[in-house]
Amino acid sequence: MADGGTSELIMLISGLMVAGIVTTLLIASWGGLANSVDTVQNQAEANSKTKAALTSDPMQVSWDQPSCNLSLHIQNTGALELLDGEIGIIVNGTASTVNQTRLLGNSSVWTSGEVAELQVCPSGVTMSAGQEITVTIVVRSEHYQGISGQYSFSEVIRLV
Amino acid sequence: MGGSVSISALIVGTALLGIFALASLSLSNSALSASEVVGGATDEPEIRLINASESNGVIHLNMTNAGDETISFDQTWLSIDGALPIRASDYHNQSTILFPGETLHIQLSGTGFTSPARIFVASMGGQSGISFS
Repeated sequence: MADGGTSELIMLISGLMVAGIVTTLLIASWGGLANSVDTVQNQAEANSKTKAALTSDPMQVSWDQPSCNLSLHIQNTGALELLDGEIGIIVNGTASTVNQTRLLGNSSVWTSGEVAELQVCPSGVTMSAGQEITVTIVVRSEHYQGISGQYSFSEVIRLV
Repeated sequence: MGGSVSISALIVGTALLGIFALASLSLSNSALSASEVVGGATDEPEIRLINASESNGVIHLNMTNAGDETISFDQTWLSIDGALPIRASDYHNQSTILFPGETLHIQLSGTGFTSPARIFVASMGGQSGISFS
């Protein structure tokens, strides 16, 4: 009887330990999965609220070869504030430098509806008036739920 | 023996039910967030310039909202002959919104342009351009 009680106790403790280990493992793996899904979800939400569009007349974009200056105007068309210091531009396949950024219309922050003027220099690229080129612009938003949204778009423009 | 096995099974079962509940809750939250993402995506406005003319330094425009979104003149920018974009509401203050299906005659004075050739409008992703007649 005593042997039966001891083995029963051992079985109970073993069962509890196995259950505890399995539960801990499952909860830990589920926690990791949930965090991963949350991060992806927040990123998708931040990206969906980040948007921009060209405000310059694409038929008449100013280009000055000697001073390497392409003037572009970009409107924040998303819901989040954009960071004017974190803009990426590719001009005809060449990564370009944004030399200067300023907001039009007395704005101090690049909120929805506001327009930023960019002075871009595609180093080493020779272009002329009348030429049609493709520009790709990448913008980044302020943090939304700890994550920054990104958006990119391409436009064909004609230089003057 | 039978009692301890039952207790163990009860504990394991309860733990698994708890995990299932957590999973369901998280999935439900995910679906909710996904629907918010889809619902939050707005369409671009469809703005159209019908015609444009200039007389004595005043620019006359007929503009229509061909889409389903309202268009705010605060978020509408005009570029004349490729120059620096100007905010429409800075020059036109008789109305602030162009409603879907609405066509407005807009007069812009004080822009400094005489005999312009082309005007381009951009508003929250919607674009339109036209030559002056």
